[in-house]
Amino acid sequence: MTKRGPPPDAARRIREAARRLIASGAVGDDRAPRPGAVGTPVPVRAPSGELNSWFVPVAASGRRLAAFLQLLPDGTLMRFSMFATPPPAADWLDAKTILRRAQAEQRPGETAGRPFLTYDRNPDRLAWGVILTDEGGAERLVLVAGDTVYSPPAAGGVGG
Amino acid sequence: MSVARDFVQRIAGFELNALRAAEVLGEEYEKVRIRSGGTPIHDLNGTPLYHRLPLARGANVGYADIAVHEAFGEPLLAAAMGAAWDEKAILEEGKRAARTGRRGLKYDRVRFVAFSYPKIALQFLLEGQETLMLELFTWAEVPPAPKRDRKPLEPENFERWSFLDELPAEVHRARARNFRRRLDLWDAPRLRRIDPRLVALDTLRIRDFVLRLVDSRELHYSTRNTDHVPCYELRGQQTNVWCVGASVEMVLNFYRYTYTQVRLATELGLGTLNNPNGLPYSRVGDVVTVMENLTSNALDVTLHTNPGFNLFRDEIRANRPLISFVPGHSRTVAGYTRTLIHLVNQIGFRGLLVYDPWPPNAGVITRWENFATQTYQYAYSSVLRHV
Repeated sequence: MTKRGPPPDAARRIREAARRLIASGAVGDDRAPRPGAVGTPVPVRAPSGELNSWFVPVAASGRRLAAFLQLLPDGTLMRFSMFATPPPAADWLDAKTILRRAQAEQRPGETAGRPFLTYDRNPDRLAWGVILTDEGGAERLVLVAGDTVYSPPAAGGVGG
Repeated sequence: MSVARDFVQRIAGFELNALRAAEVLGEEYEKVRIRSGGTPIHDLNGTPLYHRLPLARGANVGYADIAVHEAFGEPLLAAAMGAAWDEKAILEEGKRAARTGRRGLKYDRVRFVAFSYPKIALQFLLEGQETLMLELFTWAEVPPAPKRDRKPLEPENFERWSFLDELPAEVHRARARNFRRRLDLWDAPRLRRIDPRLVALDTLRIRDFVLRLVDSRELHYSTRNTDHVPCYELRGQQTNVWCVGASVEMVLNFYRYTYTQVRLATELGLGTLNNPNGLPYSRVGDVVTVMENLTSNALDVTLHTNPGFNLFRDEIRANRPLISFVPGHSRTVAGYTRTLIHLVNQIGFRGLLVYDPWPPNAGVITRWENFATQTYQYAYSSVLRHV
């Protein structure tokens, strides 16, 4: 995977753009959270490893995730999405929780790498990726989307 | 139709203030003043096309181009900061360049000409006849029009051509209607007491006046606006590959058909909960067949390839949800929004209200998905057959 990091001040710039979008009322509805709830942006990597976009969490009360923005690296809005039932923020933001879920798929002799936010074929299908490496060095990818853990299907098509 | 010079400054004010109110124009435009009616810029055939108005914050800091000819369709052509416009200084510089390049040049009038819109030149005239034309700032001489046949609006590099003479008549007519509507808006009696020459976020916020900046709609119980209660529900996909099943479920639920995703998966050939699969691209037509069968043909379903924004807009206006396939994924669309005011030749924001079954067992409601940043492969519209 190519590791090309975003510019040093990119996360701050993206967070400000996200705050402005929410404050302007351009996204969301009456239930949309206040700009103060905007969290630290997380880079979304394409399967090739390139920076695809930024995932900007928007917190609800009680350590839950109310919504998120997805912005292109230049700050252009891709989408603002709200959960009908806010999930625990840890499902999407806590590396330990995500790693623990991925390890449920771990086979004997495999070691798990650090989780990275990516997507399953379309940036709409956000998921955390964890690479499992066996003793022979062979790697396979496991995806974690909320409480769903799976290996990406080999076949093409819509959904799988 | 063209615009009186004394009205140009007001139009510029309203246009810039509307964009500022919508935050299309950023803070660099806050408290900027429009100083005058600006410099008329003519078409090659001599007709006034637009005015370039200086924008000032103390000193000149930018300019706005405001159409005075209906052929542009909308009044605001461009707004720029950082490039100060000083008509008098530019004229002096141009005259000096003309004297240097052509000794003994005679003229009795100089005017600004869009010789190859949006490129501008100074045209030197003597008794109404051109004696010299110099491109602005480079002060290169613009050659006479070449005598060769070519298609309209396909000029060569540095060729002079008339915007008005080459614009197709049907385009001109359509744009003229839009231009008149916009000018009527700014001539509304309620706005006459506003001084729009100062650009600010709140200039247009006056009582009893609502500026419609966006066109937005979502599904509800009927097409009657007075009953505008949202009427659509999100369903999360029950496996990581059942986005199509969940999308079909959402649309059928809207029409009060209740099928489980497991049943829909069976009908669509998506396997079982323990052994699920996605929908191969070779079978995208199955969605039409299955939805029609499961509604006993009460729904007439159509598959659209490469759907444009207008398809989504028109279906939502008719109060009908759509299924939207993007590469590798399926969701449903239950609303749209689009900005009504933006710069000429720029597409304003267009967004879709997407009920997305991803992530599994949850889904999200996306308000809004930027139409410019997604690839729309297929869409399914469904019309209820009347008996």
